[in-house]
Amino acid sequence: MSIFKSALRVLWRHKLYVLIYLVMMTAMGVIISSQANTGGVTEYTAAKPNVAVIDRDGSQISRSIATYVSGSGTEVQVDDSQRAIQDATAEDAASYILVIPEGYGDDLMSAAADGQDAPALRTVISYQSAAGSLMDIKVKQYLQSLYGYASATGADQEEVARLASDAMSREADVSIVDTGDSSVSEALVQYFMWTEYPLFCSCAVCIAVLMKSLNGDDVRRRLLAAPTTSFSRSLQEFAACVVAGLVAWAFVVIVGLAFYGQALVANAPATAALLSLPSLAYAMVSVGVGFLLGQMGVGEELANALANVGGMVMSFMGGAWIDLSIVGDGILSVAHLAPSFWATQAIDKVLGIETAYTEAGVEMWGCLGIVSLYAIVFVIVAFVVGRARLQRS
Amino acid sequence: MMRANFKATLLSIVRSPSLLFWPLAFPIILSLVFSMMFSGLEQAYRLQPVSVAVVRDANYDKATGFDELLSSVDDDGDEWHVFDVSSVGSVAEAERKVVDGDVSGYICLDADANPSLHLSPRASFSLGSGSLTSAQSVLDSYIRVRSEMEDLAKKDPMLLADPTVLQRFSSDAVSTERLSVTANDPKASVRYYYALLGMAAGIGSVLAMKAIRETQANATALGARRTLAGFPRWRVLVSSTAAAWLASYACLAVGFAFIRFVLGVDFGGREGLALLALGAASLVSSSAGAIFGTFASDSGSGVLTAITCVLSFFAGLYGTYSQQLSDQVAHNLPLLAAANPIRQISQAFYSLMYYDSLEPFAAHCATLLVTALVLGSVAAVRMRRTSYVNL
Repeated sequence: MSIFKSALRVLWRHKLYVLIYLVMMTAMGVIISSQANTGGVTEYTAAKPNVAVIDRDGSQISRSIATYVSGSGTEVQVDDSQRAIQDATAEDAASYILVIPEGYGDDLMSAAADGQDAPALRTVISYQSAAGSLMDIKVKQYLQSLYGYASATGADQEEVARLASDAMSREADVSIVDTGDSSVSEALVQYFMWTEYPLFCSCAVCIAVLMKSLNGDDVRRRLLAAPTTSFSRSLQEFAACVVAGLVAWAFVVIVGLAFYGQALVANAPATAALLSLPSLAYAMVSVGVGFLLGQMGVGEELANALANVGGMVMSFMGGAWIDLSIVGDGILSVAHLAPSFWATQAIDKVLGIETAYTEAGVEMWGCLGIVSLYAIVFVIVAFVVGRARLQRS
Repeated sequence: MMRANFKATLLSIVRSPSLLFWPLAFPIILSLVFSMMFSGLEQAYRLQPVSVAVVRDANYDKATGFDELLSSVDDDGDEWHVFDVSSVGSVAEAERKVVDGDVSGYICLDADANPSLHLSPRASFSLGSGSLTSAQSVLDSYIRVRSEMEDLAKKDPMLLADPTVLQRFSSDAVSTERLSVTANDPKASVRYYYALLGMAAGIGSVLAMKAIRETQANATALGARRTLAGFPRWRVLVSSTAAAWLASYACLAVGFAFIRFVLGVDFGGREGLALLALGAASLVSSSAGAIFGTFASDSGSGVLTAITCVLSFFAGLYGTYSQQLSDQVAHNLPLLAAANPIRQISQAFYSLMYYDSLEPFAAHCATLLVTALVLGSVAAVRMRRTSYVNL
C-alpha cells in the first residue's frame, strides 16, 4: 500500500493541474450551461431574437411595424448609420435589423389602394441563427395584413394599423406534454457533455505527470529495490490513477447535480445516477490515456499539449461543443471512432429511458460498453508500452 | 552582448522540440479538425422540421384550408419545410406517440377549429427554439388569416365574395430586401479559426516564460551562470523576450499560413495586415510569458495554459454556447471584453473581414500594443527588482 499512498502524495503535489483543469474548467462548464434552460422543460417559450428597427418614416404604419417587431423579439438600439449597422452585424448584436424608409406609410397605403406593389423594406439578417429569417417571414405576414386591410377597408393609417395588430396578436396555444422526463434540464445535459473536456484534461495530465515522476530513473530504482512483486507495484500505481479518475468524476457529478440537477435527484434519482455513468466511463478512458502518456515517458509540457489538443478534439468529435447533425457523413463516421462520441450518445440515450425503457436502456448500456472498452484498450496498451520500456532500460 | 543572448536563447528554443510542439502543432491540428467539422456549418442554422402527429378528427375536418396549409410545409425538398406530418385518430393516440418518442409533438384543433401544438420536453433539446417557433408561426398564420376574414365579414360580408380582396391578404405586393452591409459576407465558421489563432498566440507565451526563467539565478544553474556575467538585467529581458517573440511569431505565422492557404479560410484579402495583428498578438503573449518567467516556480506553464484556456473560452473558441457567452460579456461588460487579449486578436481579424474602414482594426491592434507595453513594464520591474537568497 505504500506505493499507492506515495503515488497519491505525488498527485497531490501537482494539485495546481487539478485546480486548473478540473475545478476551473468545470466552473466554465457551469457558466456555459447556464446559457441553456436551467429548469425542467414544463412550459414552452418562443424564441426571442435580438431585433432593431430604424424608422426613417415615423408614420402610424411604420410605428406599428416597429412595435410589432420589437414585441416579437428583444429590442436592441442600433443608430441610423452605416458604421452602427456594420457593428451590430459583425458583432451579431442583432439577429434582425429592419430599416423603414421615409414615406413608407403613405406609399404602402397608396399602393394598396391602386393594387400596386409597395416599396420593399430593407433588412439585415444574421447568419448565426434561423431566428432572423423567421422574423423576416413574420414581418412579411404583418405587411400582408396591413396591405390587405388598407386595400379592403379603405381605412386610414391608424385604423389599418390597429386591425393588423389585432389580427397578428392572435396566436396558437403551445404546451409541453408531460412525458415523465421533464425534470432533466437542458442545462444539466449540456453540463455533462461539456465536462468531457475537464475530465479528459485533468485525468490525462495529472496521471501522465504522476507516471513520469514514478518512472524517473532514481525513483524507479528505489521502487524496484522494494520487497514487492512487479505485479503488486504496477497494481498499486494503477489503483492511484483510478482513484484520481474517480475523484475527478465525483467532483464533476456533484457540481453538476448541485447546480442543475437538484429537481432531478429529488424526482428521479435513478435517472440522475444513470446520467452520471457516461462520465464515469469517460473518466476511465481519460485515466487510460494519462496512464499511456506516462508509460511513454512524455514530459510535462508535452502532456499538457497532448491532453489539451486531445481533449478539444474529443469534445468536438463527440458533439459536446457543436451539434453533430451539421457535420458531413464522412466526419460522422470518423466521430464514431472517438470514445467521446459514445459517451455523448449514452447521455442522449439516458434521456429516452423513461419514455421507452427497454429499447433506450439497451442502447445506453451498449454505448457505455463501447466507452469502457476504449478505457480497457488504453490501459492494456499502456501496460505493454511500460513493460517494453522497462525491458529496454 | 544582446545579440549573443538573443541568438543563444533562440537556438535554445529551436532545439527544444517538446517546447515547440505545443505552439506549432496546436493551431495546425485543431484547424484541421475545424475544417473537417465545419464543412456544413453555413447550413447549420437552417430550421429542422418538427415531426408531429396530426389528430384528424371531426374538428380537423371542419377547419377550412388547414389540411392545405400543413401540406404546404411538409415538403422534404422545400426550404420552408417545417413539419414532418403523420396522422392519428385521437388525442390519446397522439399523446402515446409523443410519450413513446415516435414524434416530437402533436397538433389538434378545438371545436372552433383553432389549432394547438403540444410538444415533448425532449423536442426543445433536439430541435432548438427556432424550429419550434417556426412551427408555432405556421399555426399562428392560420389563426391570423381566419381572424382577418372574420374582421372583413363583420365590416361587410360582401367583401368575402371578392377574390381579389382575399388575395391581397396574401399578396407578394409587399416585400423585404436583404442588405449586405459588411465588406465580406459573414461566415459562421471563421469565428472559430480567428479565436483559435488567438489561443495559439496565448500558448506561445510558454516560450518567453521558459526563456526568461533560464536567466533567473535561483531557477536554473544556467541562470546562475548567466547572472554572473554582469550583463544589465533589462538587456537580458529584452533580448531573451525578443528571441521568444520571434520563435512564437514564426509558429503563429506557420499556423496562419496553413489556415489561410491550405484550408482557405478568408481574411478579407488583407493577409499582410493579419500578419501585423499576429505580430502584436505574439508581443502580448511574450510579455505575459516574461512576467511568469521571472518567478522561479515550475508551475508557470500550467498557469499560463490555464489563463489561455479561460481567455479563449471568453473569446468564443469552445463552441456555440461559448460564443453566446462571449457576445453577452462584450455587450454588457465591454471593458472586460477589451481586457481579454485573445478576444482582441480574434476581433482584429473580424475587423479585417467585415469592415471597409481600417479604424476598428487599428483600435484592436493599439489595444494589443498597450497591453504588451503594460505587461512588458511589469516584467521589467520584476526582472530588476526581485531579490532572492538574501539575508
